[in-house]
Amino acid sequence: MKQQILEADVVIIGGGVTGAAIARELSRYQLGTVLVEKGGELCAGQTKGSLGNIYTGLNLVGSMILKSVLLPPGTPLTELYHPHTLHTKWCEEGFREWEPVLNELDIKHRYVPLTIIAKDEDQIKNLEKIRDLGRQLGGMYADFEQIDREEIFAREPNVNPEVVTALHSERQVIDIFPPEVAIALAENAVENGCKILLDAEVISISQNGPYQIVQTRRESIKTNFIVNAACGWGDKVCDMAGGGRDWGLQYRKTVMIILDTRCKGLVNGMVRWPNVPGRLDLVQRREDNILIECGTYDPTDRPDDTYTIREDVIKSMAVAKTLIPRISEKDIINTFTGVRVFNTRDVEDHIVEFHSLNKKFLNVMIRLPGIIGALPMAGHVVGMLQNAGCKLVKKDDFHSYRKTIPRFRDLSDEVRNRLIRNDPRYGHVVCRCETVTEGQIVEAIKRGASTEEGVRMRTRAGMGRCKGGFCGPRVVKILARELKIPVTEVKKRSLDSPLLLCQSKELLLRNEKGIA
Amino acid sequence: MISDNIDVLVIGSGPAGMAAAIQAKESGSDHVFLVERAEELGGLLSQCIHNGFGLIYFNEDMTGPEYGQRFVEKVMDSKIEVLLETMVLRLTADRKVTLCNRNGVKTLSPKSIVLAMGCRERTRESIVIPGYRPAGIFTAGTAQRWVNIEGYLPGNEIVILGSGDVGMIMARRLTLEGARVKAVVEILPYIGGLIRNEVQCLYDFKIPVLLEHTVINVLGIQRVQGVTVARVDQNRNPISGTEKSIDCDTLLLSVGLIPENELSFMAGVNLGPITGGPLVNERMETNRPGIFAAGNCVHVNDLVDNVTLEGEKAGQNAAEHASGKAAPKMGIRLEAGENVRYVIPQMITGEREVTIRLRVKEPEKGVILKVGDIMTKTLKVVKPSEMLNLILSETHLNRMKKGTTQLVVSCQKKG
Repeated sequence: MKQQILEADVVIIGGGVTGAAIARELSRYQLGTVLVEKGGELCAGQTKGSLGNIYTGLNLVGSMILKSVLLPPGTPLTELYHPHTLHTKWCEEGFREWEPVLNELDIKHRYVPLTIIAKDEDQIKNLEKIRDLGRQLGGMYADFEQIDREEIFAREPNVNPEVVTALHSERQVIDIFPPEVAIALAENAVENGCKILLDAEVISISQNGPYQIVQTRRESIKTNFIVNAACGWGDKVCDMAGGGRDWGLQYRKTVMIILDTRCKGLVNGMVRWPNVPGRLDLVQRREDNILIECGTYDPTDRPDDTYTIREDVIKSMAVAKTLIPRISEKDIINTFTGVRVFNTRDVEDHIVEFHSLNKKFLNVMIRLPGIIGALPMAGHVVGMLQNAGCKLVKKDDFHSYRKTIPRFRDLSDEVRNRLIRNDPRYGHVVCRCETVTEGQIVEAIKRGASTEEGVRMRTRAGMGRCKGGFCGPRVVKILARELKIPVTEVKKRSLDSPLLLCQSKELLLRNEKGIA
Repeated sequence: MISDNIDVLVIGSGPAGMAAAIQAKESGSDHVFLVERAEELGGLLSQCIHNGFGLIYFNEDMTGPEYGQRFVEKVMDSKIEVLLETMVLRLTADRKVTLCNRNGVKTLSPKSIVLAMGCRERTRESIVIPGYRPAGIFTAGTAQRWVNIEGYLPGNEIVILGSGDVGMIMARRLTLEGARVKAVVEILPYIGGLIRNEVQCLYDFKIPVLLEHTVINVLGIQRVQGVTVARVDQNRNPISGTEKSIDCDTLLLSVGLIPENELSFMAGVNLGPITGGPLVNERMETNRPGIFAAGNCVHVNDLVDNVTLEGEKAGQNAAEHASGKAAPKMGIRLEAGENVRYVIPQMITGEREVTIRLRVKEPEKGVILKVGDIMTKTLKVVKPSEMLNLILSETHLNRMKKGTTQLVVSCQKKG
């Protein structure tokens, strides 16, 4: 590939929600910003495999208990709350910060109720722990009510009939689709001048006078500042800039299961058993599907260990059925594994700090819950860069608004007809299961989707029950047509994931030549 | 502009849909619409370029496209209104149907509807094969489309999980294309599809078959690099110590078909727990008056010829319903008994000759097929992959005791 040298003021490494949020924040200023992503599409790592809710309050109390798996056993509850950390601050403030941004960027979101249910003695004890900790902390953490059976079934009619009590909060969880959030932030950043390089794994970082050279698998970039938002790969990237970090990264994986939209009526919001250290058991509505995450945070030694283990799926389904008995294996349409990255140097907080030897290299390592923290993190990073001498001048022409690709499925027939009149491709439904039209797919490609997965994450084409059985070949052909590349060049998600290996008869010709 | 004066609207233009539309027209309906989401008529027939079609219906051995073409021409000749690249977005219990195509979205109210959406393939996700999510995993039917319609090969070295008909046909097809099919892996102790495919696609091409085996692992993060297979025990659980790896770049899945019934579901059509398709009476009518169903959306058929026959029946009765003719009462329920997976139709009048079709649960030799106590038939061998047809004549039906509301169909071993 032709070697290009780009110039930038800031290079962001990592195209997850953190990197994308920082890119958008920096695009408010007169700066040359380049975001580089190792994968063939944005959010190829943690963001994609994230449970993906923006939440605070009661659920956060549950998370504190869940994540105490990293603390010594027997750590008292009060030790779980650290009011002065960035993490706590951003989990509290971030919730309010997101609302206007979700609207500005036209990101689909919905406030969903949270119901933590309990049926036996142990669960009630655990539920009381959450309740007491919540009340002790006060404020948003105490913004819930304890409800009885009658109220539980009024709100979530399909939960385990043996439940006796529950904690319930109404507006503390926002259901979003994590890749959409990252992509919307990135699209807006691009509209405001940020450059994004995909399939651009960083190979080396070197110094060149006052500048740093970021060498990627594609271009190299001469830059003043570097923000390392590579998450699970952050330590490796930091090593390229001279090492000196001692984060003690740990990777924990959990399996997630998606059920057919037919089951959507089974759950209204998020339903879970009380968290215990290291274990979470929840079933929730994700748009019109049901999402199940019931399991332990299992250690693994690689941030990309998204290997799905069959037994985990079986166990997870068994627990999910204790929450919502009508759930069935027959309705599984997808299973996937997410890897969460924890730093163990400061188990309570995010890492945001300049490299000890390189004052223009900023390490950013977000701690769960990551999406809520990404936005405050972005503002914080901008401040730190400014303090480090990065000259920030606001752009006069920054556009904070982004329109979504029309979500055909969600529109009224009247609006659909208006779209079709303007562009008949919106009348051509390509993905049956999710009702995605050719117009949407073409628009997604225009906005940067260059692979099957890129189209899927932007439009939902292929995310339904048939997993692209019908639309798959059609989406690939539209990609080839719009990108003006041969069909055999269309990838699933990155350079090394080709979908079709050759044309019909090509192998026969090759074999003939081989024999001759 | 589509007028809203429609007698019969057929959803899906595969063999069932085309037959239904043609028959509706021939039965006297003036305004028949045939709606197809794809670019052309014929459904999956166009990609089934192998032979074996039409042996019953035409008494000829034809390829899928040849078989389909006979019906396509009839559709074209008989002034049926064809809407291609048109998706049905909604269907209600009172037969309001919302169509979407490049001309816009429009809701119509046909007098009768025939559901002929066919089936879809079971996916990797629905059977939970562990591993990463690399490129190179295809359902057999999607691979078939790639090879036969689009002109591309999914891979060079192939492992096929499941021995359904499409899987076996693709094993042969890919071998003929120069790819190497390294194994067909079947979890059951017998092949899942038709005997003729077992012989003509696997044995004739010396394709290795691993019965009582399954894929327990997919290797490769970005593109398939191999699979691990293992022998299974009687409960279909992998036996540890029997694992072996096979290098390949592609995994095809032929692990079952699911009747496509999202629209039926929306319209409140009752679906059978075993077939996954609408419960129908001998007129191929569902519980929703005026909504008929035929073909693989009702149950996954063995032969296309039978799909056509079902479509014709649905089309004829849909036309009758549209003309306002009163429907006869369906008083007798057919139930699946010993070693019978399901029976089609589920309801009959009991007053006129009717053909019933059934599928057995397990292969068996030397059996007696019984319909209540009105009919018995001995058979040398039965297999789940091959459906059985039975004609209940008026003579048989006259044997029913007065007040009978149910007939159990069973398939017992002799002696």
